[in-house]
Amino acid sequence: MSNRSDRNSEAQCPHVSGAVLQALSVLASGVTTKMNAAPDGLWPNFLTRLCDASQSADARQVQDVVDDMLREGVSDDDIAGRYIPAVARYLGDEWLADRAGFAQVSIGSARLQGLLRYLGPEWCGRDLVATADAPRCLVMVPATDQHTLGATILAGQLRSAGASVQLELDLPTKAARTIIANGDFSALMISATQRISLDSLRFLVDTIRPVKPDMPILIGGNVLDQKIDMRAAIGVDVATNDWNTALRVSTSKAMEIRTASCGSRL
Amino acid sequence: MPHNEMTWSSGLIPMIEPEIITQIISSIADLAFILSASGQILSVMTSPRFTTVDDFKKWEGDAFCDHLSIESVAKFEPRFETYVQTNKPVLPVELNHPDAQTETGFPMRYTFHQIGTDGSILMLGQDLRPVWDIQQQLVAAQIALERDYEAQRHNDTLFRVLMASTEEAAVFVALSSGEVSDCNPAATAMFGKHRNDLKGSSFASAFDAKDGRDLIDRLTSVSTDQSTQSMTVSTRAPKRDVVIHPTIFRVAGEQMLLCRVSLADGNHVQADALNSNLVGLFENGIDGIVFAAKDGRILSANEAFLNQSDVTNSQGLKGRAVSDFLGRGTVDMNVIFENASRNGAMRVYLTKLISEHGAERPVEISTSSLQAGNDAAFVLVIRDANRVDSSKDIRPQATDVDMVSLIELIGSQSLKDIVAQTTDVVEKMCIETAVEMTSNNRVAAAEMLGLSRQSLYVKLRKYGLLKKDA
Repeated sequence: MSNRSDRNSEAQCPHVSGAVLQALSVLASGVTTKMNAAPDGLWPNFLTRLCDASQSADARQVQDVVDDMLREGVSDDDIAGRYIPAVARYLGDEWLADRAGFAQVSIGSARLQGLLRYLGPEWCGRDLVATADAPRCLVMVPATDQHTLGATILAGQLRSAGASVQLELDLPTKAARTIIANGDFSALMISATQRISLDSLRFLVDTIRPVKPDMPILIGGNVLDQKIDMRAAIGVDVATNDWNTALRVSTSKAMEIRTASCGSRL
Repeated sequence: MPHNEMTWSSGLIPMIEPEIITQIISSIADLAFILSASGQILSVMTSPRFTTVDDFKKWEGDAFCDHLSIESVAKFEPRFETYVQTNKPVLPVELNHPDAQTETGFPMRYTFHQIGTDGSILMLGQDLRPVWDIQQQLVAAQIALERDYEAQRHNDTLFRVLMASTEEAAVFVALSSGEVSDCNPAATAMFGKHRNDLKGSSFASAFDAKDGRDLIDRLTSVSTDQSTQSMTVSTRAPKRDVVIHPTIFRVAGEQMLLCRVSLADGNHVQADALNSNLVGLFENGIDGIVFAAKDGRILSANEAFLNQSDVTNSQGLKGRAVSDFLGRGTVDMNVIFENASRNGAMRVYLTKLISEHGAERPVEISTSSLQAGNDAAFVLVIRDANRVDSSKDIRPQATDVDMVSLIELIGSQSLKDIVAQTTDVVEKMCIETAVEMTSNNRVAAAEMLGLSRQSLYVKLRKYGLLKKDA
């Protein structure tokens, strides 16, 4: 009798039992989680498992964790846009604290990059064909600042939101200048780490600015961890690690161009 | 003795002559520094296999940090300071020295050793360039791969645009299995199926039984026959005569057929059946659909909503406020409209629907913001929450791994403590959600939670949510 009554009460309050399960999981995760605090809304257990798998000897493990996450209803957008960057930051912190060596972190990052492909084309809006008036973004990683993960994720997020994106990795300044001169971009987004000097970035911005003076130039990546005013230091317009902000800047620029071109036709 | 120090199996190492120590250091380290307690370089030693000491002689007298990259300074300073102050073993540190010639610099791994009594510290460095080279090759391979993906993406887009703009139905069929591998929108309209349903299905099954028999063999014959280039067959549903122009080709070793399909009467099937489908969804959908103006007036509502609200005809609804039917009235409406305006849409909002006769039923409302002419409008899709399968709860369920953690949790704390903490977590989650849903309108949030404003304030402070909100 009491069992049936329990089942009834659970059936009536599925959301409450869901909240309790989540709450218990939050408490339980405190026992095992490796990260000091999981970012809002992310499952600490999955984060911990992804962190472990990214450094495991078995390369298949990261894919197994992602399979479990998808099965539990975590969206591929969240895995690519929130979990993978969180694990990448964790690996970076491990290197800073010398708990993980250079080689381990490199292999871990390569595995995370591989996960983006494992998730399939849908998460980055491959099925979407950007409309003619969509914002056009050039996402670039400057030459010598060799990294791929952050810029690839950003490109996927922008594409999912309908933007038209050209992704250029390891791009020399001269080549960037040519691409921008020949292209019609609403914004340039530079992804940079602290490995590249501010002088190099300043030179890049100074070289590109005269080519398209009105085009907003944004910068993101862990170069922003230095907590300095990037606008003053290297001459960019916006410094952000929020892809929504980056998209807003390029969308408003695209609208401005569209309005101007309509005006000139009238 | 720290666990990471070596021990001799018998007795202590005998005294070693200074020149022998130099030889030993030279053989175990690629680069060695003696630093003062303040981090100044007192002396440098290099292994011949690494470089000549002259390259580093000029570093003497400089601060060690002056020869580190920015992120390495942040790693080195606290580690060095800890070691100097505590004289206890610290983890080896991986650092990067900038190099004007290579721009990327060169990475080293250093260990710290106290020598003598004057506070000077010996740092033994191991050259990490071989690992760095491998890492660079890995990154270069990744970049090459990403460039390939970008090129593939570019071609995919061209292919998609071409397929979508072709009025003739185009279907790719794998010869070995007879299954559809891809098709264009004109083909989905022609065969009345969604692309995902067509893909992987037998191409022959889309045609009349008599035409479907040996269809692939006959198409193959036609494609290789110089005299005939097409064949006429009848589709199964909707039933009509079509002409197929097959082309045979190979891709990655597999034989494929491209079948271009057109109506035998020469007309094109209208690919865009969206409008009629949308009207069908509105009229026959099982969930209530309400279009509302931004001031809350109902513009139109479907039959399912009339049933949910016990209103007899749709004319009686027009012009009435949607808040009349929501459990928390204008509070619900403002929360929904505010969020949908801000984000374009608001997923699953739980409330109660009040019928014309005062009956209440729990509902889930998903709202999207639309542009109707010059004005904003909202479409609310209202689902009876009693009918929602609890197994499809939007919150993730506890996983096997969670259960393992739960067991550990139960082992580590009393039930009373777990329940108390769980209550706090649930309370915090609910308050955070309410504050977010009301865009930090604490009066509305308190009303939603059934709390006084003062109680909400106390709880916000208890959970450290005040600072975040500010």
